[in-house]
Amino acid sequence: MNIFDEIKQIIGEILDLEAQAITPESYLIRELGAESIDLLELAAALQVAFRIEVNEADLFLQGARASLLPAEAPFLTRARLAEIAADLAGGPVIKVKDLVSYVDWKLNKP
Amino acid sequence: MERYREMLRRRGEAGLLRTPPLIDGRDGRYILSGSRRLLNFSANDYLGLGVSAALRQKVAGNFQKYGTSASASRLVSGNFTAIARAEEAYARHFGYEAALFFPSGYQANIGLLATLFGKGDLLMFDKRLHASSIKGMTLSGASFQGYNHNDLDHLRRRLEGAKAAPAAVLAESLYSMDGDFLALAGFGKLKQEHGFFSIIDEAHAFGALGEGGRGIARPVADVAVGTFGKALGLFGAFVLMPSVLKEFLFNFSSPFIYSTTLPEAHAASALDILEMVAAADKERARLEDISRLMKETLAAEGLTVRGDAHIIAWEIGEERRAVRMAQELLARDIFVFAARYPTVPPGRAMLRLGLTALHRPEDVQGFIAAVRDIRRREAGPDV
Repeated sequence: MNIFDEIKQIIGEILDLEAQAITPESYLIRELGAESIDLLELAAALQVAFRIEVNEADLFLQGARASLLPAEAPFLTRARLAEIAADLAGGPVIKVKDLVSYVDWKLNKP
Repeated sequence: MERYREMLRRRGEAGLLRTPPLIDGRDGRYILSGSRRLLNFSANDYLGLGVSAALRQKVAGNFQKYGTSASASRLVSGNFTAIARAEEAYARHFGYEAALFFPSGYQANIGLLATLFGKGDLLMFDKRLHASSIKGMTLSGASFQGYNHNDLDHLRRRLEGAKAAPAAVLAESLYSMDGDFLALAGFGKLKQEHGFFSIIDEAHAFGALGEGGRGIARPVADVAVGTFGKALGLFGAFVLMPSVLKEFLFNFSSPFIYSTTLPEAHAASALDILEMVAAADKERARLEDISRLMKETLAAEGLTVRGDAHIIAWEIGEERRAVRMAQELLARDIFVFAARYPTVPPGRAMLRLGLTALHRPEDVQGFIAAVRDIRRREAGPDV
């Protein structure tokens, strides 16, 4: 199973959603309705599923602001950071694909 | 210091900095703030014992008789007969083998959950569980799986999907923000089918609900948590449980072991309160009536309200709207708590009304009149 599929399954179980409702472009909080307690469980579940250490604040871009610098979220591309910066007014910005990037970055970090 | 200032600044920018008004005193269902007398819908004094002159006199007498402090942990020289006797009485009244008193509800939930469970255990929990239970659960080191609020189908799917049976399922009998009851029949059925151990927080139910104020969850609870600070009109909390767990907490619960125990006067007062609560059928009936009146009156106004008992959630949605409504009510001498993110999910702000047996029908009418007035003045078509 690839990273996205595994994350999709985990999110589906936590939020009680059908897997097809979850795409890489889904907003985790805005669209899928994740609450802070779900994020807590999700971080712990990713930690177990991928055997990585998860920093919740980094993963969920908590405190992400218009001035978000690449150094603050090294797992995201510059293009994605720019997209996020433009999207902040709409509410919590994190998308499922950002979780995939985080896990991927953690697994492949030199 | 800079990082703390920065975090506070961000909180403020998000409109989430908390600055509660200074309260100078209480008078029945009113609170006094400066020169103002505010009708209070933001307390948990469900039976009115928190402002009872009779109870105040008894408690004062108990402190007079027993002194001000236990001056020691329960495990050193604080294991007073008065406390042990009161705990026995609470266990008997609520129908459990044993009871243990804690200095606060927050501490009780941490002291209970973080001690009973650990790495390798799985806990399942309703996502609207109180912050203290969530903290206790995460401190325990157990893994945890939430189910959507009161959604027993989700709980069932999680039970069926789990690799191992959960060490416990955690729920509340009356949810502190949403105001709804645990779906008792469905929960009991799942418990029977899956044989799980259950811990039910009855903080908002004990005293206020059930025959003799015994709450509503005894048939489905293996362990229950109660507090003295709500319907019981005092302070502190208690955990009701099988004897073996009491002995276990007594020996292993760090928050319990390393706290100065509540004093004898507290235990003596707890006994006095138990008598008053058992005899408070009239107050419970009044609480039920006034709560129903408030809910029905709000619903008749076309407002979205939830709540199965004395906690009523008026859903407003947008944070700023909820805050503005609370401010407008405050300007009309009515004190109501606007619950917003992160206490509730973003975009789901609500006004949380806590009723008490002291409220009267004219309070409900006054509240509705104020709401009507505010909505009339609002530019928007609906609140």
